[in-house]
Amino acid sequence: MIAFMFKRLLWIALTLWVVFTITFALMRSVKGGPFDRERPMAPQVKKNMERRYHMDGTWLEQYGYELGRDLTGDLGFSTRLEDYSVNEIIADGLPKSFTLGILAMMFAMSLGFTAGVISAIRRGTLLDFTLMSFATAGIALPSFVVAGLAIMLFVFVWPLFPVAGFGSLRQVILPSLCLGAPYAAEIARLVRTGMLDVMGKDYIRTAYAKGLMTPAVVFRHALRGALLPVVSSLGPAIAGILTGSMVIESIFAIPGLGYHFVQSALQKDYTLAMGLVLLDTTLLCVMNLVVDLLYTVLDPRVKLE
Amino acid sequence: MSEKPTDNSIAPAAGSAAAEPLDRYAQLLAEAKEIRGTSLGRDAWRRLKKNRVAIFCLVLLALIALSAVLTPILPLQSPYRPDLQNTFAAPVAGPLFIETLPSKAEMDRDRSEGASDWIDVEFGQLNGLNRALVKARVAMFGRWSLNSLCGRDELGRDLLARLFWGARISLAVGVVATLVSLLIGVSYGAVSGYLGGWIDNLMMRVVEVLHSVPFVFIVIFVITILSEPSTKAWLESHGIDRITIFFVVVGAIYWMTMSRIVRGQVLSLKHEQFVEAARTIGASPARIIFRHLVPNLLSVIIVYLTLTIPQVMLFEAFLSFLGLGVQAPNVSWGLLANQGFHAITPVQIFWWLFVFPSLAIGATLFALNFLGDGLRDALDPRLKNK
Repeated sequence: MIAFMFKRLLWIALTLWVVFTITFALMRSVKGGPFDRERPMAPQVKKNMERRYHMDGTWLEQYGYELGRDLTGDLGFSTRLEDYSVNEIIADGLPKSFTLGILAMMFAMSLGFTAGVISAIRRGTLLDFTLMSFATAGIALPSFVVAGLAIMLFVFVWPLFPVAGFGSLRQVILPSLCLGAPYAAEIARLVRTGMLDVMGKDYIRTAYAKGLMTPAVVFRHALRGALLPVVSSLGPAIAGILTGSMVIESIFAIPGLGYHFVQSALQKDYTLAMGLVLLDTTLLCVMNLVVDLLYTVLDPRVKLE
Repeated sequence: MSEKPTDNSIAPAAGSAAAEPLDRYAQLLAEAKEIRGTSLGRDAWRRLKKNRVAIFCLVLLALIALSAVLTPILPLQSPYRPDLQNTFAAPVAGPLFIETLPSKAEMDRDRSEGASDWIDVEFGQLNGLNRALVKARVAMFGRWSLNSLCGRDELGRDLLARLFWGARISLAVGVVATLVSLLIGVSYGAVSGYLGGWIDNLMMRVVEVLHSVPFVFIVIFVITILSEPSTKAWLESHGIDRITIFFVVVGAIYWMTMSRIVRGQVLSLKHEQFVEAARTIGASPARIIFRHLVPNLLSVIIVYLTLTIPQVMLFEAFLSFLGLGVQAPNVSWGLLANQGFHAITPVQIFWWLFVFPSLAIGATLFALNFLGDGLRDALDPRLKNK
């Protein structure tokens, strides 16, 4: 167990270093830097700016400096939002994105599990077909299309929710529904397939044979077996929610990390973009690790290696 | 089966005692010739045909692909020429056809002056084949075009025509980028699985590390870098436009899952006898991989193909939404849906600009997903004879 964790943490460190290097190389190979403005800056001002952000040395010096600084956990200062450090921006944006992501995931789980279980039990009926059609539509539609339809219906035609902003619960409901929709759809499909696989197994027949009612069989026995594919999809789902929130946060004007990332990439805010890429990689790796650990809890046959 | 009764054994047999078994042999041979073994492909096709939803999706996709290829020959309005008299015109139900193309005299006059002719103005820069198709369309339908059944956009351009022209780019992006990823993924996975040992280990570790890289971020970077005016000009002077870059970049991301699947399959296949046989007659590893192993993986590859195309098309729509995808004057469904999205305002909702592109994306991806599921079920040997 300890050896496993040690090995995995080593891999995470290696991954982070690779990502750092790729991102660094990509950003430095752009013509023009973060200090390009509509009107060219005076050379002396530009030089001072570059010195402030340690972008005046050779690439190797910059690489060494930035790697060393990021290793201490200090991600530097944003070049666009000049008075803020990247750490401050993350500290401000992360809770917002996190709230949105958690709500979206809760919604996706509850809806996805319900739809998947119903669909598997009522296999081959019209209800099953309808639910699965909705699920496929949820996967097939881009998130901004879902968001657009939701805004059209629930904001303009039937004014239930405010258009945009962040703060009250009413403002968060619509974006988190839109963000969670594709994952609800995916979970529903996975649960249905998993349930159908499991329902044919001997131990389910045994459970029925000893006189259990359908709900008990489904929730106590079948669902646990059907859970595994869902859990393994959770790692990528977290990553997807992070990127999906780029679109949703832009649409609903939520100042979270997704919004900041799009802006930083478009405006060549090197330090902020680097900080966010590293944060996202860390989250993704940690989530994958958590999923692997969860797997051993859910399925005792799986051994950590 | 039994090939014993050859011609010379039948001919001299005149005795009635000998004739009976020989007749039986001949009968057996005839029966054996009657029986056709079902190949995996035919069996899968038989099962797919029973799945009515999948067949419906297949037909729908074939129709969409066909109309995308034949767009220039269809009687559609110009997707590019603005009509400022009719900005944001709502969809009309009739008349079905209107006269839109320039008059015959105008068509001829432009050509004689040697300037950019009317086809360039109406349909953008087209290659030889598409120009020929446009001319065929003029010969068939004259100046008549379908009316704006889907409404017009903020510059008065016909949405129906833009949807059809957008289909060409959206589908091309989906298919070509998926093929690129297929090429990389299959080669990588097959080589890794076949060679085995430390090379396999190393190659799979690389995939593992790459799997944790947030590629959406990287793609956004690459595309912003490459759309820098100076870089863009340099690339365009070498004949590389944004769509080509897009093919390569997206293809370079989506290969990883494919390579894992292929590797697993190759691992289980590489000790089969036909591989041993190929090796004993001196086939090179490359030949064994690409002539003997990969054809055995076709079913897996096809299923994966139908499930990757929708992902790539979604990604294109996502990038178009951020303004990083296909650029004007080109149109794609993602771009159209994005423009439609921005036409939803509290003042007025120009719903058609948003709903029709979304329907186009939704229907295509819906069909692809259902077809992919159907194919997976049809090709799954565990579900055989069910």
